Amino acid sequence: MLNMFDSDRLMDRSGLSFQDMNCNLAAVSKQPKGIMKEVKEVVRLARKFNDTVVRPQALEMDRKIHRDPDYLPWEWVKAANEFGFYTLWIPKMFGGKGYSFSSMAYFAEELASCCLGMANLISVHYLGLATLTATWNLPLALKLCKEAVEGEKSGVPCLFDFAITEPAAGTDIADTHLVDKGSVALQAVRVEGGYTVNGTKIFISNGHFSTWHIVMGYEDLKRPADTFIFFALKSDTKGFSLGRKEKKMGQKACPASELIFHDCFVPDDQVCIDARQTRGMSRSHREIYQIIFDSICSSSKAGVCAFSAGVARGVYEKTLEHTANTRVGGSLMMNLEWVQARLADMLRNVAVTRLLYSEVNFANGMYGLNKMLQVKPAYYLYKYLPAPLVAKISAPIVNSSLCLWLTRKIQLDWKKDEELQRTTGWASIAKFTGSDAAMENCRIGLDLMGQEGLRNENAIEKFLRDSKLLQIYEGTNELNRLEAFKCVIGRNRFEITMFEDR
Amino acid sequence: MTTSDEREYKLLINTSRDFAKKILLPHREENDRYPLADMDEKIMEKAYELDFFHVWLPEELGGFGGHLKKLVLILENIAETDAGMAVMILINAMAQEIILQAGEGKALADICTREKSVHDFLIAFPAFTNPFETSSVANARKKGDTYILNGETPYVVLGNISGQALVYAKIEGDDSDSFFLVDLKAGSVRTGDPVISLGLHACPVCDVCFHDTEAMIIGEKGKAPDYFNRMYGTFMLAGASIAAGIMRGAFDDALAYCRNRVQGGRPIGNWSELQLMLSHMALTVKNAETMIACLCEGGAGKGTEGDEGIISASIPIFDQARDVTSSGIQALGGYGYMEDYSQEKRFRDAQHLQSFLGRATLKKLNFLKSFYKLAS
Repeated sequence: MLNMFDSDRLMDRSGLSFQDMNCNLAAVSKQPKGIMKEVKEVVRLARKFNDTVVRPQALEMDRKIHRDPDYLPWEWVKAANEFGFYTLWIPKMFGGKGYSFSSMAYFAEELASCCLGMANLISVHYLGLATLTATWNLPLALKLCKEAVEGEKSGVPCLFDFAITEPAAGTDIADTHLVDKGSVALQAVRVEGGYTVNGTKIFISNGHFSTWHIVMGYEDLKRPADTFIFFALKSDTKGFSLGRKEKKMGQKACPASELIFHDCFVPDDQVCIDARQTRGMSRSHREIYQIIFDSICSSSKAGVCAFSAGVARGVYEKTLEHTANTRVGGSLMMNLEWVQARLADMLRNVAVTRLLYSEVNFANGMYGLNKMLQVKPAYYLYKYLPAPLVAKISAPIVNSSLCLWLTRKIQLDWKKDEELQRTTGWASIAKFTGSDAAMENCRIGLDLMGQEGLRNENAIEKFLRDSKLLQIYEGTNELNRLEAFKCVIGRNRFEITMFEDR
Repeated sequence: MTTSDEREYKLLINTSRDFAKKILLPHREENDRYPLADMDEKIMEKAYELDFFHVWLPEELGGFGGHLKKLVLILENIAETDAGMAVMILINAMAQEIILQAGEGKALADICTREKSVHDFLIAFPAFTNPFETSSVANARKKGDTYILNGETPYVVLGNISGQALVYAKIEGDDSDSFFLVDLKAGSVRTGDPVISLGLHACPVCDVCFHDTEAMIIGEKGKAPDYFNRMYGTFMLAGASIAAGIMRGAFDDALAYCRNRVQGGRPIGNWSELQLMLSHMALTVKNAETMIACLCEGGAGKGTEGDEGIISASIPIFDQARDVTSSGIQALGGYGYMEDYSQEKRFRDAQHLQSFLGRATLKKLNFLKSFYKLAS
């Protein structure tokens, strides 16, 4: 009845393919079943951590840092380290526990339902790891991950952060078109055996806690997209210093730090990727900039959406409890229809946000950063082989130049544009939808709780302050709307221009 | 409007702005840390010296005699810089108005006569709830010519810095709601620790407990709802003027930032997506200011019961302030989220103000009820 051409054509809607709109269906048969078990395990772990560490202290910690903005909650970082959270998602080949990246979002939701600051304290570490992974410099990833594993064993946490934002360049960084006209200033000058780095990064989550900073710099500030470089810099490097710790409205437990680089030397073996390493690839260095950046954001924005689901749920649960125990004008609030409808809206926001980050997870598992380790043979091989054996077998492979060349060829050079756009587009949609939904729940919660909601001790006001940052980091929601347009709506329209509006 | 009126308004605007920029602004961030850090009391004393807490009083007591436009001008211009102080002025004036509505001007005169400091003068009031919607209120019993209060009144604004509080309580026996004036320095009154709240940190709040506390009934027994409702419309508008001031501050700062911040090689104020956001902000701010000015010119604030026009104009302004201040942060991106910039404070203050005189949604539902009543 239908020929093959008709079948494809009839599946497309509004310029979007069936695959674009149904990552979940495509992933169902391909996703290893073991991931479900992992999700349950990490959710249980997160709940235990919430019950024993976070919930009893979250509000007091918020007040403590409001009182003393320079306070650094090392006790929380150490507690997370003791729970093994900084190696849970480090692949077994790098010495970690090797949980699937897809399970991290569910873990993040759980923590965020209690305290977003704590959720960020753990998740940002993996943003650093995601950046190492997105550059596919596996030898460097192996070296750094070993230190994180050692930090867990020794009780001295070894964290990573991810540093891209600069005082005059925030949105600039997100796109090659913007960065070339932008005001980036962190310069990496080529010297014998490496680079000398000068400049400043700001708003770096976990900067004050991190041992390794994964940093984006530029060889030529007038041609940043063509000369970008990612490098790893240890906090004890000569010339590196920590500047101010920002005084944020919320998420106070997770410091936003200024990183200052003054003639810091970065040896070649700490360069994640630079123009020398991409020479000879069929894609240009600036194209690779966008691929790496978008791959990282596809993961991190799924994380922000998971945070949003957590907040939306945390607020919903608090509000539900309040309405079940409060009378207004003689009636139990929960029995009032307008209250019932608002509670339904809140639960809708939780559900939709969770579905969205799940969809981005599916997309990342099928087409993004998580793909390599979620292919069934690789997944089961790594899952069931003992960790020491995996590490022993993997080390020589990971350190080989053939492996480096091949992974980059597959992940950067041969990466299909539509797959990258699919993950990036969905991640942007999830990010702005989720964070808006979380904010809406906070507002409904505040309204339903009235005067009680204003009090810090009842947690809702903290959720609101914490949540506002969800609409800002990983690109403001305004930028993410444009990203969604670029990657999903406008991608096959050749008349489209981006970021040139006058 | 006469020339002398105009001169008086200009003088008020200039005095409020001067106070805000020279006295409030340098301490804004530090005072916003209260109650987790000390508050600079000199600011409150300065506001008192400038008679900001007296504006609502009758002329014979040194005020402008319940002149809404003058109160609104002060509140709007101060709130642009720091809504905390504006709310302090508002709450004190609200309490004064209820006492006046109840025909107890003498009680106010007594306060004015014996005042020695700003603390002696201020009247605390639980203004972030609708007293007749809550189920837990203090109770009162008659003892001779006076009343004895027991129980707790939560979230009393200015409770820990005022000489007296105006609270409502149910009178034992007939269960009717009445207002009472209580001396907060009495030994039988226990004021709790300052409450840590979402916003308006510079406007202190605490819970107050009464244990066989002597109190003076304000007006007639069981008439609290009448006095409250007569005050309601006028002070919803006064509260809305604070929301409008917050919005104005958020918009001005957002616009200034967007003109100077360059991304992608051009000022972000030239990005049309952001222009649209700024445009929404500008329209909303101007609309709110115009609405408030028109209502003040039109004679709002005469204390007439059931002033639906004022209430219908005021309620949306609180919602708008919530949205405008959120956009104010978005326009500044990461910087907007930091305490060094005032946008995050305005955001918290505007969200906080949503609960002024009760839950936002209930205020809307109550409006519908009064609207139907009027129509029928």
